[in-house]
Amino acid sequence: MLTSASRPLVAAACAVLGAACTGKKEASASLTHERATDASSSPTTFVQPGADKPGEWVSAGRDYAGTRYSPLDQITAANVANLKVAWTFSTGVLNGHEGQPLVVDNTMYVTTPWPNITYALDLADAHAPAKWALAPPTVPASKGEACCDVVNRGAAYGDGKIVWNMLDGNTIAADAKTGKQLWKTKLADIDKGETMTMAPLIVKNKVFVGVSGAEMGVRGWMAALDLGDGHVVWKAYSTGSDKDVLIGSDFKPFYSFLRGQDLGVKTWPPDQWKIGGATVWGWITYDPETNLIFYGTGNPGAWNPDLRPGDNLWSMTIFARDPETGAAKWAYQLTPHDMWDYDAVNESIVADIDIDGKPRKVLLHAERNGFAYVIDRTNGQVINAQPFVFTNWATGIDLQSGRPRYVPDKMTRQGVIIRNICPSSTGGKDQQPASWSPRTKLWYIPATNDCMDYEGTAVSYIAGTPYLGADVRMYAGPGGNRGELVAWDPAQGKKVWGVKENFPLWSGTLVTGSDLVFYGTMDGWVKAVDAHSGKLLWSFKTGSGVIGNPISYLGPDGKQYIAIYTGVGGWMGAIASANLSPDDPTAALGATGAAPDLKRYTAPGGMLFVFGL
Amino acid sequence: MSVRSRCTGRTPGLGASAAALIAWLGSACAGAPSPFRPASEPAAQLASLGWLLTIIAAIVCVIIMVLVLIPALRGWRATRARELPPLHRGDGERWIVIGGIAIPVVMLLGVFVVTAATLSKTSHPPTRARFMIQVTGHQWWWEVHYPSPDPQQNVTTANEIHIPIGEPIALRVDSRDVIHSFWVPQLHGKIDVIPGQTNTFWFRADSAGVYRGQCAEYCGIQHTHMALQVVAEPRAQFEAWLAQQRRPAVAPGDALALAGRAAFERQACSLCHAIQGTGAAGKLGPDLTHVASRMMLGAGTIPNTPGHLAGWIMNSQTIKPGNDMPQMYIDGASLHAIMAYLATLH
Amino acid sequence: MMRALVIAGFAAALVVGCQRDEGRELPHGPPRGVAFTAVSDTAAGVIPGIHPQVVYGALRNPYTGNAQAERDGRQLFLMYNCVGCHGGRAGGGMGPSLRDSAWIYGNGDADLFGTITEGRPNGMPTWGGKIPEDQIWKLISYIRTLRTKAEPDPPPPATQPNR
Repeated sequence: MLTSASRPLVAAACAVLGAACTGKKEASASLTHERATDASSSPTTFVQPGADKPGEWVSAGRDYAGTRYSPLDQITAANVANLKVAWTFSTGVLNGHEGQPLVVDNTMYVTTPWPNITYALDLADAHAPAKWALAPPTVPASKGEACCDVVNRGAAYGDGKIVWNMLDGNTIAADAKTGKQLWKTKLADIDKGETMTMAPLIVKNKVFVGVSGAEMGVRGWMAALDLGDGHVVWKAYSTGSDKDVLIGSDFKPFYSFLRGQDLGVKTWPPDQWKIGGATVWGWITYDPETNLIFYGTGNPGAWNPDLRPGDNLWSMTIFARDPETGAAKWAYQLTPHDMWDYDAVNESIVADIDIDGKPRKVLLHAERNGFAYVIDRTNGQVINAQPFVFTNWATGIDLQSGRPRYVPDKMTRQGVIIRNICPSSTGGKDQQPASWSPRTKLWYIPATNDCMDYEGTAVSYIAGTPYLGADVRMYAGPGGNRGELVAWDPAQGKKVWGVKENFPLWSGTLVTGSDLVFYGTMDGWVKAVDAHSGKLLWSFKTGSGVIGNPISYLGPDGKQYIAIYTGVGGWMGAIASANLSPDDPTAALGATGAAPDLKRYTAPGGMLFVFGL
Repeated sequence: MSVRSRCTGRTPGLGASAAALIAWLGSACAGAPSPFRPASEPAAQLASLGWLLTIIAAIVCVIIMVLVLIPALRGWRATRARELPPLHRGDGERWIVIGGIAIPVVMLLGVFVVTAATLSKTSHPPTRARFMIQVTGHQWWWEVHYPSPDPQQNVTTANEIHIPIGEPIALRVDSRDVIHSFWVPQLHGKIDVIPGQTNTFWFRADSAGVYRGQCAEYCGIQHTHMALQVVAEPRAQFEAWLAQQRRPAVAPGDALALAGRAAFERQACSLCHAIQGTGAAGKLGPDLTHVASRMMLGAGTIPNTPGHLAGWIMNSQTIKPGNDMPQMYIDGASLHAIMAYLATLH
Repeated sequence: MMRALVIAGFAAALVVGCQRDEGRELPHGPPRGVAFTAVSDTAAGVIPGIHPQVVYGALRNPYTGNAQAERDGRQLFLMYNCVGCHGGRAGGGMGPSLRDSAWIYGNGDADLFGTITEGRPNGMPTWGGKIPEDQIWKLISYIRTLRTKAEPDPPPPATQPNR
């Protein structure tokens, strides 16, 4: 799989060439990148991650499809009660640990929140010592540009390289064996409020990355970098002219409201699209069969909808693009003219399911707006969309037009407090990824059950500062439980079972080949439940709140392990990690109101926990 | 100043009131924005109603004066003659019933009917309004939007409304802070501008001209300086104006104005003001994309001339104390450049 | 004569009353420029932050105790996007809470003035040259009212309607 023999040679060559290799700068438009090796055009083989090695976790979502399904089945419902801590590792960072480690070739790669250090831990050694650690130089000012804690959602692996994004707007590639930095490409400008937090996806010889900062009035984009040397192959903006959005002649959206020329300009007031958000900070998935990548864009800026009449395309949109050229094949806007900050960045899991007796190629997308969408991935048609949490801003999704049926009473505007909108801005589900089991045919959604009061307020765009214009206060939704693990049948569009949690469920889920679902809670528990019934089978209290995503891997000893980050933070957990004031329910963009008691349950602390039998 | 006159004006004598009334009615002939000089059909109906009410009130006032004076005069004579007429129980009852209840009821009912008829006649436009203008009251200026189904065609301006002659215009008003009232006396009746509530009405201008509007609900120290201009013009002229307002600001040609644009974006200006087509996207103060095309500055406070503008930029607090625009500390060269740039924003 | 005096007095009272109730406080023209005094023999101290006596001299907020400046400061706190980072009622978010008793860079008038004017390395932007000085002082006036009875626009009640 790897050209492992050639790596030391390249490294040695670099050492000899010295300056010629390192620090070489190349400017292209507004982008610069540094590279340590010239385009290494050595022939490489690309294998779908995890396909041939069930014991590895090669990509953020384990596979291209983003299923977070591990076929490993040593840990079962019968023996999971014996699961105990195998080993731990402290990251030394006290901010929110979203994301997940990678496991490739008996090495675990751990990427921390800012300052975005990546550690390579040797699993072959019982002490799990670091083979290498790389802490690229970075600026603390970038911390001031991250809307929702200085998180990082993980690294990507491909062709012997580990690639991750720095909060300060750089994408770094390091040699997976040696930790030597191979290239660095500067993509985002923190002076404009652009940061990078998402986990890249590597498909063949391209790295797909996107920008964060829709709360700062940035103009969202997604870029494809060459895995060999880091240069930008294409860049697709989320707003602006068709040329900028890479919409061409083969763009065929299913719904008529998405057809037209330059809708990324025409559906905005003049100039507003330039600061219109629609960032790409969530997960990217890939389907080799249709050869499309799928990702969602974030909220339109500002949060005050009165500043941007129109549908605000292409915010809140799932794009299907050709990975080679970036050309958009179809798009679907989930929440036209968003009035609640319901970003569409959540993962679109690639799955093949039977609906009404017919096999369908679908995307499973549990959206911030509270609806679980099942979308035909070949053309962008919504097959079904039903609310998976209590939802009152829309009565449903009209499958004919593709548009939500809005409830006028819940439409927000400037100067008026609209009360009890469900779900809240943090969504029925935020970025924490769901999992899909091809065995149980169920979709395990980590959900948040919050509602909010929302008032649009006056706001000016000031580069590098938050461009919000909303006074928001969140609180628990009906029932009082702020979180729920929802098992969803996408073929039927209905809930099968749910496990209520006191705090919003801010960790991802993992489902295994032995039909166990793993997840963590914000008060620090890691839990295993039966994938068929939701019955709690095992739990363990870690030192800090869990907002990371569990993974499963096979150790060099042939045993199955579960690994997960703890370390409270993120948007919902900032009250604990950044020590916010619970007497201000509008702090942290309103999230403080939803979890004012979190500080009593947990304190910051970044750790990796690994469990084994 | 105005505050003082408003405050002291609360204890007017009868003579002062009469004088003020005469002066006010007289102003109808002097070119001031008087409701008695209507410039549209509905405003004319309101003016007729106003005249009717004024005349009725004047007649009632005279009759009551006479009725008060007659017994006073009789009593004065009687006191002199030391022969006070004895009071009898029930003497004034008929007077009270007829003069105090019956006549006022009939008259007020009549006035009510006429008023209700006029208001219902003027509350709906004869034909559907072709477009809508959205006006938002701020302390102390008016934000004006011309929304369009195509958001790209939206226009945002301030303190100056252009309308085509003879067409009903729908208006939606709301407020960002306190209660204001939107009133262009020559065109329509007052409409309250209330935070959190959108009020709608319509108006029309039948002849070309510039009509002064004024906030008609006391809203703070600069209430007086919260005026606006309504420019009624033929349709073609109006269309041309609207098309011009839809254009983003063009990049200036000369170096000085370019430097001015850079200074505008760099200085505090861009934190509050927007100029479409540039990096300035502040939404707290008036949109300045076409500021040079406007007649007045500071919501009708001063004319839009280079001298006034420079004074306003540097220290608007001396011109309109208490307004939200802070005293600026801009060096002479930058001010010069900014002035040159603003002059290009037609 | 007596009546004229009474009327005049009444009118004067009204004028004063109006100004007190309705009038916004006019800018007093706080001291322009910052008094940079040479580094003296003041000890550096162990508390982080810019020591007032070292950099800014004995700068004092000219609006101390001025209720109107506090209300204006609240408006400026909204207008200049301070709310985005520091929270709707300054309880924090992207930036630290200003409602608690912890002051990373010191809590003297000059410290706060310096923090806003110069910016700070962990994400606080530089506002000097953007926000006029008298408005910075008004912002500081507002920050001083947090968690006191004088706080303009205090936090909404932390009720949980659905629980």
